[in-house]
Amino acid sequence: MKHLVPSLLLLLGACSLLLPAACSDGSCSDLQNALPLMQFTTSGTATATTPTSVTVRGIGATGADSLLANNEALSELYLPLRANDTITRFEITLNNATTDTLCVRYQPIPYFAGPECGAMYVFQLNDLSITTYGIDSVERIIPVTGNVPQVALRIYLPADS
Amino acid sequence: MNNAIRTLTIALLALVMPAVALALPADTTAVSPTARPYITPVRTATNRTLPPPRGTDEKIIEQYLSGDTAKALAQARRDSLQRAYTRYPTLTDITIAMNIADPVLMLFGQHFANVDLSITANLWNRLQPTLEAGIGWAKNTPDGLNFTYRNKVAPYVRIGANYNFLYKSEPKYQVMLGFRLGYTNFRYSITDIHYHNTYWQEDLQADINNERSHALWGELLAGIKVGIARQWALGWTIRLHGLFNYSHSDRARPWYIPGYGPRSGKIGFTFTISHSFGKQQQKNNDNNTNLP
Repeated sequence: MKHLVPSLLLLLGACSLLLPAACSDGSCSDLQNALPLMQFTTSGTATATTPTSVTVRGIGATGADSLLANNEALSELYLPLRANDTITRFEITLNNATTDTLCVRYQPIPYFAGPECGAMYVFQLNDLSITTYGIDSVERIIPVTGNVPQVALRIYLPADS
Repeated sequence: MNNAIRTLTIALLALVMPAVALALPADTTAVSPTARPYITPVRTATNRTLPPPRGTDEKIIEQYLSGDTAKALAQARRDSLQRAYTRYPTLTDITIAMNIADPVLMLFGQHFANVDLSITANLWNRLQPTLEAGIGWAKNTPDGLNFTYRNKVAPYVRIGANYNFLYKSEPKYQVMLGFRLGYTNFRYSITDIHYHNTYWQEDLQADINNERSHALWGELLAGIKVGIARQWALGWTIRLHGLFNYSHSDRARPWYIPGYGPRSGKIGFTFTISHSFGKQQQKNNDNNTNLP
């Protein structure tokens, strides 16, 4: 009787050992990929803009799903880079008038984000280039992409576009 | 002449003393015949002979009966103080324990394990410096995800101390609070990474091999220990822990840290079976000569 309380606590503690195995939360609060996020920005300002019609396609992609955006009004878009290559090109058509080519040079790196979000490729962005028919320029914002929503590159558009 | 004076004095006293003897009873017995004599009340309990308190040493009783009451009282007081302030030897016992919580939990689906042996010196049945050394490993392929995480078997060490709040009780029953400082150096790999890109129709496989890391952490713990048979005991601790420092590469942070558990975890458990070496008995009276 004297040591009843410690004995009961011992039993309680032993039972509570089973709780962590039953209560693990396996949800991923971030993204399960690390694709670069592109944002349209007005030249001369740092403000995002939304062109009324944007069409984006990866050069070399085939099939009906090759269009990443099809005449849509958008300000941001994730660009899927090839993980088994170091260069990926995209065609960007604005307002059905001008088509520019964005060239992204990068290094794909296997990355383990954690037991919830899994493993993926992140991309070390080495060089960006773009034609300037309807677009002013492109700028790299972060050197390495991650699995969090963060703008990786900005496409600068003329203020009057 | 002198004889005449002596004879005269004796004659005078012979005349006076009877008169005094007659006069005194007349003054002191001047009390009403109805008044009752005054008697000082006495508590009967104070006249009772009390037996010595239960557990009183025979030697003290003998001292008391032999008339050496001062020494007997002093000894009885020492005994009383010892019962109130129990004292154990400086090195009460040494305990070796094995943490078996994680191997058991692996049977219930846990994907890692820490197994350690600890050695604890029980000082005065209160303060308990502890050294814990063990190995940890992990292997996890989560359902619906695209990798296998592996921690090779790696050693770890924790050092700290407990304070036993049941220091008056027997050493095999303990309720304790304590702290630990832990360190490990380990390698980990993420293998069988399957990467599928639906846009480019890519299907790749990759590995991240032999990443090295080390970690330093601290723990605050609460636990109990209960004797089960002779000098064997079972016990558990719940540990609130946090990382002070850990290293990682750009490609992968460790998910599991040997001795710590999952890196994002804040709570750990141990369940130990232990064996104590030592008499586990209180100091006897003769050793307590410094008590009043």
